[in-house]
Amino acid sequence: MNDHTLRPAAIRTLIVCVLLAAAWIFTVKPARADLDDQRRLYSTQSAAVSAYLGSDPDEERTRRTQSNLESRVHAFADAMTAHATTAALFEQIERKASARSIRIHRTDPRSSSRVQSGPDRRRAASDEPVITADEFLVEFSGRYGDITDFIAEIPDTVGLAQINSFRLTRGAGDQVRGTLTLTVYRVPDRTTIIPDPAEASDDA
Amino acid sequence: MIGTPTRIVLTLTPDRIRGAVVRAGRIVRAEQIETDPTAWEQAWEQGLVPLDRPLRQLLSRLSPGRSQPRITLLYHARNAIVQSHEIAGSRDDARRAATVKIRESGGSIVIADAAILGPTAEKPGTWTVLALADREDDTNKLYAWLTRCGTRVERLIPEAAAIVRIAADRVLTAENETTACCCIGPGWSVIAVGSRDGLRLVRAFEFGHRLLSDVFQRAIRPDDAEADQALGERMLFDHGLPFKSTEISPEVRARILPMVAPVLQRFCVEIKQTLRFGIPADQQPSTLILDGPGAAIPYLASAVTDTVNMHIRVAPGCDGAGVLKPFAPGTFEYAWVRAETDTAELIPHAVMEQKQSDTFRRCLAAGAIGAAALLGAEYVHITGQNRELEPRFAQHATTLAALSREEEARERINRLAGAAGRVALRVTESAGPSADWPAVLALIAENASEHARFDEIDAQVTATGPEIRLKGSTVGTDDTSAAAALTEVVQALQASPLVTAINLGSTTRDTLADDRAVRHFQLTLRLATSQAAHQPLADYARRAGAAKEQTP
Repeated sequence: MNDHTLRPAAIRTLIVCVLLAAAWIFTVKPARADLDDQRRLYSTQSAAVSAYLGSDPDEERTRRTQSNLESRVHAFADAMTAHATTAALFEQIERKASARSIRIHRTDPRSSSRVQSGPDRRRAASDEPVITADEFLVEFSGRYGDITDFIAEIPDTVGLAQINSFRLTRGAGDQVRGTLTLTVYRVPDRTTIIPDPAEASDDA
Repeated sequence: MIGTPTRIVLTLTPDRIRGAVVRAGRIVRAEQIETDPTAWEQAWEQGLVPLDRPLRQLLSRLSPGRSQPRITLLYHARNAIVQSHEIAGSRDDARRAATVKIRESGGSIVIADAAILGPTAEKPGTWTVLALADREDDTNKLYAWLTRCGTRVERLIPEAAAIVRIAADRVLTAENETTACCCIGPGWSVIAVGSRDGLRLVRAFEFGHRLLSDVFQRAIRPDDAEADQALGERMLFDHGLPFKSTEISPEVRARILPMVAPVLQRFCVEIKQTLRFGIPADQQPSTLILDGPGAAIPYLASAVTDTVNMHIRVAPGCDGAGVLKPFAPGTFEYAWVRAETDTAELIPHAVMEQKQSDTFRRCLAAGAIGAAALLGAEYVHITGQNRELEPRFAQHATTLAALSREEEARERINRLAGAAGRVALRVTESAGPSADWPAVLALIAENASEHARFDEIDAQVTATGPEIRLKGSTVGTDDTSAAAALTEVVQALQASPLVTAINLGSTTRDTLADDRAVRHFQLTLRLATSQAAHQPLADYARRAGAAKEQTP
């Protein structure tokens, strides 16, 4: 073949090759890639299914665990946000004491601080949750049994509280006089504990 | 068959163009168109353009369809060289050698080819080869002419080559021991001598019945250029050589005979010289068979006999042959079509290139179709495999849905426990240990009685844990019973799970006004720590933190 026939033949061959290559690129290659992806996915799914079936799955158990945890977390959030202000806290203490025929002589805020994280407090970051710890002193008098019940109800009354100390002394008759120091832990709002707004409410 | 290209055999001679549609070696339809023989040379000089119209007319009669007919052209060559060689070796070697020989003799501007005619007699391993060549310029003109008229050229065969082929076949298939045959064509004649065992002699020379018909034409119409150009030919084949004929007027005979005699003389000389120099004297054939269309000329055999001094016979089937009809039995083109034997052919470079191009295009198309089929097959295979996976995925669906729900639940648990746990952990770390104060107060109340009373309870959380200090007294009728009451209180407190250790401090004795003994005491109780309600959340955060630190 000479140059006159070689050139069109070469062009024709090139066009056919390009068309075939294009057909391969746009049909077979994506189909092959899709098949490889599907096989990988199937392999991954098979492994996951085998592992899942081998782990003795119990959806009911998982649901119970989740339900228990939700209850616990919401209770914790409720306790940490029980009273927004100190005045409301004192009012609640007064109300509980009155219900037990206990007389409150004095309620006194002693200190207020922010709870720092762990031993390395320099690492406290801006995204650390803000937890305030307020210490109070309460002086009261009443009968021993009522005081015992009053002290037992303190955590439920004031939210999340830690009794630091108390002192009870016998008074006249069956009266007992006492002082109590406790620390109340609070967070500004529930989202500190339950970040997801959809789960923050008790109905979630 | 619809769309199948028609195969047409054409003959081109100075006085006419003949054509026939050939299917499977059978002549289906034949036509001819007369042309002006005096314009033959001029037509060649003009690239055969004057013959375009006649050819188109002929083709339209033969093949009215739109398909491009494939053409085999037997043509009267102006400059063709026809040779026969005896060459030893294989058939292919002999053919190649003959091609080289004629190419060397013809120069660089020729198109050459060769074909084996048959074995050479009495020379084992030797072949008689027909070699022919023509000027490339002429073959290109023929190719261009045929292409211009919408045909597709397959083969170009000079008339002489076709006559040689016919003559050689006649000798090789003859029943006699040795046969000498003279095949007279329109423009060329061939003498072949041989038998079934092989050929002894093959020689072509430029003499045909057209020379005789031209003489008749000139003798009948010496000055009439517009006269029927085929009249002389018809008269030649109708009345023959008029040496003794009484059917022709004496005037005409008187004009013809002087003109025919030298032509006939030349023909006889060619025969005699060919046999004399081609065949040894002791092997000279005694009989010569006239064959081909020229053999049908009446009285030709008798005219030749007188001159060559041999027995002259006309081949069977040549008597009264209708050589004036295109492709009729007796014509050389009819014999060539019927023979269907391998003939040397001249293929112009353009045709070669066209053939190569066609072959390449076919190969390319086949390759493309094959590749496309492979691509399609692979695509179908892949799609099939993909489809096979679908039911397997469906089998996993239920389990995967359960797994997905499980993972969502775990993620929700982790999310819930994560934030709450961090807060709980910090509260726990900040608050430190604690005791179950209400239970401790209840324990103290349980141990208070008329013999034991507690005057002061002082509870606090120290660095070592929660503890409570009690101040009180026990009463007895005497000191021993008061001590026993104290011991009883201590033992009761010590027995409680709320108390981990008990330390009895100072004790003092005293006596009441009614003489009962009193023991004043101080007790320090170390208490068991209690777990706050949020402790599990803090424990979770602690474990999660530890796991995170261990993760690289």
